[in-house]
Amino acid sequence: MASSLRQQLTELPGEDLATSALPEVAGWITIYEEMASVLRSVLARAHGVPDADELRTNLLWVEQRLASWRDRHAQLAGVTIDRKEHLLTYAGKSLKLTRREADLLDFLLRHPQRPFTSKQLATLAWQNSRLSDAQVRTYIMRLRSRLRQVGLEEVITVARNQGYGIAANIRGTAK
Amino acid sequence: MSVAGAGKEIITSHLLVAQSKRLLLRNVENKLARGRGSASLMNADEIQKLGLLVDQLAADAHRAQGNYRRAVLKWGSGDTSDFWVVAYSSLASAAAGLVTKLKESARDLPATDRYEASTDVEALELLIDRWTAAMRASMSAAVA
Repeated sequence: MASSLRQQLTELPGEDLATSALPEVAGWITIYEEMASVLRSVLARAHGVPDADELRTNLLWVEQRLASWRDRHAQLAGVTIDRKEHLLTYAGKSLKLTRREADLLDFLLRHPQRPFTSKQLATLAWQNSRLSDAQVRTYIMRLRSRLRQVGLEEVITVARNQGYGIAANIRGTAK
Repeated sequence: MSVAGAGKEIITSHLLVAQSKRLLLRNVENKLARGRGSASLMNADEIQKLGLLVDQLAADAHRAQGNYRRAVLKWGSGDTSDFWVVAYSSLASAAAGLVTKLKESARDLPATDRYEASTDVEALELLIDRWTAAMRASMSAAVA
């Protein structure tokens, strides 16, 4: 009841705020990531610098906001991933994934608007730099095919010579 | 050559490229200003071409400046004032860009997100003030 009232107050009839907000939140995430990266680079050289403690506090705040907007992005996308159970839920449908599939999709959803190469995905999503490009490609293709079962076949995008990413507007074709 | 030495060379190369691009841009901008003056013999077509060249060179200069900043952040030493000028200006400009985006797009979001975004804007504006002041202090140290 309360949520439907809130919806009435913030949405126009027929308007889908979740869909329009998704790229905006993804854009904020990109800039927060850039700030966090600069702060980490600065802190790596800040030995004995008086501002180091303050910069560390700044980084902590930026990382907290980043985590919060990443969660919100996943919520707006309507995709939830239970990392423990490796269970994907979307549009009222659930799909049991393997650990690697769940880690990969969760990583991509939390880093929108950015393509990742196979090497980067192996290292960042799975912490396993030994996986070959061909193996990563196979995982991606298998995951994309499995996501079709919940209507999310378009969610992982492939950009030629750039890598894999997540669609700016996640619109599943829930069946 | 040591890693630090190579890093210094990389930064210097990027700085030279950025400075060259800025000089080229300034030169063509001056030419365009003269072309638009009353005593100019340039026709509209030539002025339009120069305008396009200015846009292209401005984009090149901006890209070169970005490459220089990235090189300083990657290879620079925390012992130099230049590093801190670039670090704080990068942080302040990223935060300023984020504030603009948050202000522009937050109004289209659900109420709870709008509130979250507005608290982010307040916190970021404080950070921008601090980082800008720190950048100015580093610039003074670099000049001294």
